[in-house]
Amino acid sequence: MLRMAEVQDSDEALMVRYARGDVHAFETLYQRHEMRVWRYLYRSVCNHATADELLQEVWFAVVRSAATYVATARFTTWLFTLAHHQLVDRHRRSKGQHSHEALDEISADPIDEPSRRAESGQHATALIAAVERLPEEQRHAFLLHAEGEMTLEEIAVATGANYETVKSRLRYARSRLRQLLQEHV
Amino acid sequence: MTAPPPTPPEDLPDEVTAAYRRISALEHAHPGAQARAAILAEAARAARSGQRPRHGNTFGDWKWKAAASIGVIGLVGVLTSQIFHTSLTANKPAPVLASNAPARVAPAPESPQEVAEQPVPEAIHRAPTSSTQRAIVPANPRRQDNLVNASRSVAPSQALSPAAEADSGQNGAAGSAARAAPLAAARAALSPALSPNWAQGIHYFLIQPAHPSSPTAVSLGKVEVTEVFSYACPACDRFYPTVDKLRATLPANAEMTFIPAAFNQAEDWPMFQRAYYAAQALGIEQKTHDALFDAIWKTGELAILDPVTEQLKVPPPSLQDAAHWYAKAADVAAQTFVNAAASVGVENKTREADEFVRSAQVDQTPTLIVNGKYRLTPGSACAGDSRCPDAEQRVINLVLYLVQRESAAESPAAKRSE
Repeated sequence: MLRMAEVQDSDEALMVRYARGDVHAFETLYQRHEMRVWRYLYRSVCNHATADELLQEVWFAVVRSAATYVATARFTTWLFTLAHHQLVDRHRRSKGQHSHEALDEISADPIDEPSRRAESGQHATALIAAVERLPEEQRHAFLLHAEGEMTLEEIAVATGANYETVKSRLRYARSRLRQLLQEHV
Repeated sequence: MTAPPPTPPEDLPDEVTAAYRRISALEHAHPGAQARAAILAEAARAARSGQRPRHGNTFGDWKWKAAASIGVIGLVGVLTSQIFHTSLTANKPAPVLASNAPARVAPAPESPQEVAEQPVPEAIHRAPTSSTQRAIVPANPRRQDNLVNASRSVAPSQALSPAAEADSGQNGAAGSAARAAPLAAARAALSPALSPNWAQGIHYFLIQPAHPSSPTAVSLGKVEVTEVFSYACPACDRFYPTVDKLRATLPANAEMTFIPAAFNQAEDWPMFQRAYYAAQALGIEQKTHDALFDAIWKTGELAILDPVTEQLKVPPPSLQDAAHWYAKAADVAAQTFVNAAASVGVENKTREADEFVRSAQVDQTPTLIVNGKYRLTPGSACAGDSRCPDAEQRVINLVLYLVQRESAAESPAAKRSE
């Protein structure tokens, strides 16, 4: 149950409170952002167990960093940057073992599960599947924007790409998805 | 005072982003309960102990790594002795273990059945150095062929997945044959595609404490299989044919029951929960159960989504709307239905259902509960593999397996109280 004071607290204030030992502040923070972070991971790896595992890594990193956390940017920007780094780290380790594979190939098949198939018709299913089929960098740019509500500048910082590159990736991703939406209208 | 700079158009959500967010918000896939529990527990532990590391490796981290290393050594030893033991006996499989498993080492199981029952930690334990520590992940039933075809798919994680181990075995880079062999045996033990074994903590979860009784009333001595669902949940709509098949497959000593959940108010679940219990009070819930799913998701008579915009209807279908639908579908007066829905009996049922959902730790629908003791979902039956090709049959098989276990007890009531 959320307390009113927590509802009104900013993410950054909650993080500071957690750093002082208030575990309820963390719970509030977690509840606020759990699903968005998880969806970002889930759509990127297309595997429930892996997404769960990465979700833990992200939030464990939040826990570990709480004492040194300084609110220099929005909390969500930092959080999604951590999530992105976890994905990249996972990808890098996978590549270490499978140098001929690309992360895109991991998620080449769209997720097909009852909940997904049962969304509100083909339109929804097709859109989600199309997001999962986007080339990796475009998908990251789109999901960081759509789930993380990050600006292009923030995405550029998080992904280590320059602003124009991110702009182009996002434009291309949106264009592909828009085309798909029009086909299903 | 200067005005803030205008937001660049690229930063504004366009119609594609808006559509994606709308659809995403409606989706019913969630993080696993064990991941959530592990995160919150870790946050609480860190807050209590003040062990959040400042920079680099703290003493706390050092201790953790030392304990983990001892655990790794111990586990490799246990696995090696297990495979040695296995080769001398009857090729008994070993449990899936990963190198960051808790230092607590369980005794080696003595039979395949025990292997299946080997409790697997519900939480994936934290790996302080992610590149060196590995996590437990469910065996992936689709990847049983990866031992011979590792190049086709990348391991979903750094954990002991078949592909990762196959590669390390073939390349000789990360592990010796001595290490790979017991791990391969361990994987085989829990790979449902290769054996009928189901693992607690992976395919199903123990409800602790076991729920003493559900709001339904099954006959004494019967094993109860409960589906927690909502008519307004699209995944439940897709799942109801499986439930029908499951119900037809259950043995005579088992009984299928239903608990409507109400935890998604945005999608009108509380109204549909009340409607279910009103229909039950009037004795028409069985006759209308599948038809109501169709009315929401196929014919659209009680749709919660606008067919054009695919957004939630405002206002959502009301109890009056449902009453009119039931009036047509089951020949009861709409007012009779409304009166039943407002009755104290139905009110109590909804409260009991909410309590059951909470205490059984149901965090998604559809969820199946066997005798108030075991919880599973279509996702868990597939060990989290969202591309599981035979999900329906796996759910049915797993439920039948758990029913069989409960049937073996002298008394289901006694089993529940364990």
